[in-house]
Amino acid sequence: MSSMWPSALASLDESLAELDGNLQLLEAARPVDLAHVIERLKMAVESSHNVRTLALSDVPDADWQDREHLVALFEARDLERRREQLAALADELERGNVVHRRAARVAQLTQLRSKAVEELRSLAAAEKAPPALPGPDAPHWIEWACSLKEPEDTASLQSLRAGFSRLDEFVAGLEPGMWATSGSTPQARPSVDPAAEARDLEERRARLLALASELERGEVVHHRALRVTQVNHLRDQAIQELRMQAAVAKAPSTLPGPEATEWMPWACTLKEPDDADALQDLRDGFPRVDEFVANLEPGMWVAASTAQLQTRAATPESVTEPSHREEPRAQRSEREAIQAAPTAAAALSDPGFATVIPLETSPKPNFLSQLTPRVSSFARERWRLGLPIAVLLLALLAAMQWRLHRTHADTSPVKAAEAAAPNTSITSSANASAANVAAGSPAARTPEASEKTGKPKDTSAAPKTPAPQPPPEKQVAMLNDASLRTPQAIPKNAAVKADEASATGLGEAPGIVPGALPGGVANAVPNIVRDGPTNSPKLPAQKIRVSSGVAQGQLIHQVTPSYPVQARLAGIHGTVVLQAVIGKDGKVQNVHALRGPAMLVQPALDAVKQWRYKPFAVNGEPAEADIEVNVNFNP
Amino acid sequence: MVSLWPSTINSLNDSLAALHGSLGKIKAARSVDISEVIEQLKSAAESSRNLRALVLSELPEASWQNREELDAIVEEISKRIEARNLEQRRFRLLSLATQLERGTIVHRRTVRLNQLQQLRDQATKELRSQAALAQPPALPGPESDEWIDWACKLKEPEDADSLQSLRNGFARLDEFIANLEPDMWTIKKETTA
Repeated sequence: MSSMWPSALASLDESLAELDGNLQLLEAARPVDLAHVIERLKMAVESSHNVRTLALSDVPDADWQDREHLVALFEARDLERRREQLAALADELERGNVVHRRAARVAQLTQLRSKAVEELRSLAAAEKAPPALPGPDAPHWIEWACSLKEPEDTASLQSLRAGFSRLDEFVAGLEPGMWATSGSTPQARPSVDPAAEARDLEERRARLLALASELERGEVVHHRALRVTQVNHLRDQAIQELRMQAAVAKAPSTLPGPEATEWMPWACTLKEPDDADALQDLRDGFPRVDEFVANLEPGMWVAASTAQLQTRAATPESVTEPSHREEPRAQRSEREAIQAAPTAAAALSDPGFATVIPLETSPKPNFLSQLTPRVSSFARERWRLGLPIAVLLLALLAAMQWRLHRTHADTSPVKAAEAAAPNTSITSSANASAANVAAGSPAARTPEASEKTGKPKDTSAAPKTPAPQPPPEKQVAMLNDASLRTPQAIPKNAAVKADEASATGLGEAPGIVPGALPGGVANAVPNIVRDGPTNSPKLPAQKIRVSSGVAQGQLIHQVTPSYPVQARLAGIHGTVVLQAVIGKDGKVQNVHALRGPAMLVQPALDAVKQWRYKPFAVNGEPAEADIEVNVNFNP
Repeated sequence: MVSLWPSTINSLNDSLAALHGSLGKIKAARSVDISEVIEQLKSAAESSRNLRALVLSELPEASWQNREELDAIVEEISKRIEARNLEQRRFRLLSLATQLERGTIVHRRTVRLNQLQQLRDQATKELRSQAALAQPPALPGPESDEWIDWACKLKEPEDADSLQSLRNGFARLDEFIANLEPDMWTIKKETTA
């Protein structure tokens, strides 16, 4: 209504202007088209009537004598209406609700809404004339504002921005589907009941943890081992992300899709643009999970509950995780749950525990890698690279031992048993053992206990372990069928063979941990030696690699990075991945960025440099640690 | 025609004033009688047309674009008309003087005849004297050949205005006419040789 009177007056003035031109001709006694002038006169009278109707419809008892008086009347009413409009919109904003799948986003938008309401009320109450609010009346305003786009609606947007910066900020962050008016039913309106909200959060967290467990229990299958390794690495990151999201104090993101048991088939069938919303939700809330499922084809995933898992070994073209993925999966779940818990830091600080933690010096194979998915996957990858060599060596060894067994079976049963032990199971068994340590099982503690008491481990006890070992014929068959199978036991004397491998010098290859098989599992040899009868001397503390999860448990002082305003305004967000060395004193040294948005790197560096960790220890000695730190910047 | 100028211009101005008043109401979105406004418009258009005709009758080649230019033209025309009126007045005075000179006074008494002739001479002299003025007074009555008849028939109080005008501007002529009876005046017919 307020915008009608200027146009009505303008129309009237236009008619009068043309009429005035004709009157000037009459006044000058010049010829005019009288019929045309009369038509113009009628139009002017009609326009005048419209203006009068407009004025009287707005103020029925209005009275005026001239144009100035009329305009003043309109302006006063317009001002009043403008204030009413602002107040009405403020009411409308207060009555409506922000709807979003993520509570943090709802909170953020609700805060912006409050500021917008405050701005509207302040302007409505101001003594001076408030700026004109562009757009329709309050009930339709939000819908209109959310549909504004540049450059088509630049004028309206500019007007909004100039007069109502808070309101503009609010609607800029509001998508059409994110607003529920008081009359409509919110689709996902967050409960205002604290108890219900808490339950909702718990359910969300439970879903995330359930999916993490589901991911752990399932298997990635592919005909290329390298691909399996890659996808497993992504899977580990996804699991870590799910656990981290579940552990954060604030509300975790809502995971789209069905329940955990049906989630992977669902996620693997998502496609764009049909499932753009779900994919966007996944991408926004769980970038690592998204990356994982993006790399996973439907046929590459075998859920734990399917029969495929049990029969996968019989599928020669499929390669699954060869080492510790089998039985230890559930144990890894428990172990990672422990790792995520605050008690992990305490456990790491335990000297007795620390003796088995170090990756480089501990004879336990891959113990830390079991604690840290990142290191673990690194070791697995190297294991896979050395797989062909290991298979050849084992085949050769098996053949030799078989011959020896046939020759001296009756005179040397122990050696025969040793020769029959499959070396390919070293890593898996060792990991199982390490997992037991992590879980605190007595079986895992045994070596350490014997070490503490100074009693050398009885290597002959290894065969006593009822480890089902395939007969040589079966073993050959297993190696020939080009598929990997989970070894069932660790021969304790396998250390001798591994040491022989180390003696070949292969373990000294560049980039390989001393004593490791080239391309094999990092620290396999020292771990084997650790299992052997020798008492390994304490090695000087070295720099160890620690996963971000473990490092998080050691973190004792954290400085929150500042979010640059420009980056926030520009919508730049994401994760900055830093690599840092934690000194023996727990201080952060040599931190540098690996990846992440450029504008966010420096703030992340500045913050992380101020962090303090509980010193890491190797065999009870302080050690430097390489860590990766993920610094998340969320707008 | 001369008298049409002010009336026509005034009529136009009055119509336009009324029209402007109505337009002011229209501009203020106040109610007006549309038929009345249209009549005002038509009246203004008629006055405008009359004025234009008058101007063009005086100055057929005249051209103007606005009221200011029109006013300048009207001013020029007014001066011309005024000059023409003075000439006409002067011409009429001299023409009447000549007419008086050509006429003959008839009376049975010589004294009276001499007296009337003396008055005629004075009237003739007065007419010529007045015609010589820059602003000669307007002589009431018809053209000179009918003027003596018209004047001898004037009587009070019916023709008081004309007599008063005559008395104010032409005292000698008025005295002569007052002593002259209609049958005492004859005018020589122009004879052909």
